[in-house]
Amino acid sequence: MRGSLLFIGLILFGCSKSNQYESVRIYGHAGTGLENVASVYHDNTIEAVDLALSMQGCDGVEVDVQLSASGDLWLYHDAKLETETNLNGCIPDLLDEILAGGKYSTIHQEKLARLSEIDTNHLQGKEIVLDLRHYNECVGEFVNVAQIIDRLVDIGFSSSKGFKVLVNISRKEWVQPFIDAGFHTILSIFSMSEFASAESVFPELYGYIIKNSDVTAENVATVHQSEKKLFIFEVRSPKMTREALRKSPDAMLSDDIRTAIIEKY
Amino acid sequence: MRLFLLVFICVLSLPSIGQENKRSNAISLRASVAKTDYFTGVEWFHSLSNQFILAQFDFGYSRTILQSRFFPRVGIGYGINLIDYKAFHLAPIVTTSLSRLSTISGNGRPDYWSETYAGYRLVFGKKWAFVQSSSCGLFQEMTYNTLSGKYSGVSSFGFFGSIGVQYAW
Repeated sequence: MRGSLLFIGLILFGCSKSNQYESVRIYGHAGTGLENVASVYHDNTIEAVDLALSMQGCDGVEVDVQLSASGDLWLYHDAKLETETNLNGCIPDLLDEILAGGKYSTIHQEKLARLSEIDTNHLQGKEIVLDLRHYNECVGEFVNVAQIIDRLVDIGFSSSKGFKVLVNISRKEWVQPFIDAGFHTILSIFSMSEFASAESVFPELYGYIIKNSDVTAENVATVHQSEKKLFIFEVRSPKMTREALRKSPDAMLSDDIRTAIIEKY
Repeated sequence: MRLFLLVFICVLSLPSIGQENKRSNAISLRASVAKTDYFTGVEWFHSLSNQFILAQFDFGYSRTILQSRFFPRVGIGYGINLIDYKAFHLAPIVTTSLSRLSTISGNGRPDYWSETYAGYRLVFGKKWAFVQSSSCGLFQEMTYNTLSGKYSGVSSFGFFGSIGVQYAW
């Protein structure tokens, strides 16, 4: 009996969370999470982005962005379309007319979406991270960076309109053009040794993004000492989420947004 | 739809194969997997001739135990004993359930899930028995939309599978 009461007490008192992680912002990775079995929508769709942005406790979203042959920006994660949609090939090789007919092979058959289709009213007071894909795997060529910058400016994803746009770059040659164009630029790094070298070359970077398992709390403190932001991704389970929150990054890209919100609040 | 109703009425009117099982009540402890979490809980079974009803209560393991956020799931079900022979019982079932989770403690609005599934329930044993059930169907998520200030629902495909131990009397 005493044991049962103790168990119930632990459950009830365990429900109260402190606000020790208040400074860590929660972003939905590719909407409500990448490869999230509990998600009702496919990643990188307007529906998933809208759902994430409508959730209590969600501070923003990350989306994967690719440049089409017509010069528009589309949301899609994989290199090849046939893995997830009714289309074949790579986005950089296809015209917008073809991509407009793209649908995911899911129960909702969500359509392939353009970045410009995201309702910016839903982003007010929030942040969006654009993971810009730089490589066309179908032909083995790099994508034209100037075209991407021009299109982002055209569709209003460059200047502040009530929400913050952060561009996530993994190709170092793209960093300076984005900084020069006035973007908040985040560099993907795989280890903290890359941080040291990048800091010396690109002191104007806004921040860095790194996998949860590749960073420690001390590393986060080191980045903050340089007055840079640090973003963590590949966060899914409750355990991983708690580990990530304890490191005190500036933001966490969660693959299970509900898990992250529960742990934070 | 007409064909479905016809088959349903025929199955309902048929006595189940065997009719060995005379026990009218049973309770089972079970572990389950669903789209939203791993669940653990109890299921009450009450037999009505060759049909039966179910009442279920489970809680989400990850949310409740690992995240200290109580995640209950209550459901009811109905089934027809299709095969009821010696220690082996197989029944098609329909279930409906509702679960609730508060992601934000305090003033946060909870999320709700309603699940309406069809599947089967398999029992092997008599007084003490092994129970396994699987079902799938309509999964509906209702979340509070902070942009519109009201709840909105999204339908999708869901599943539920469980194994457990049953005691009948």
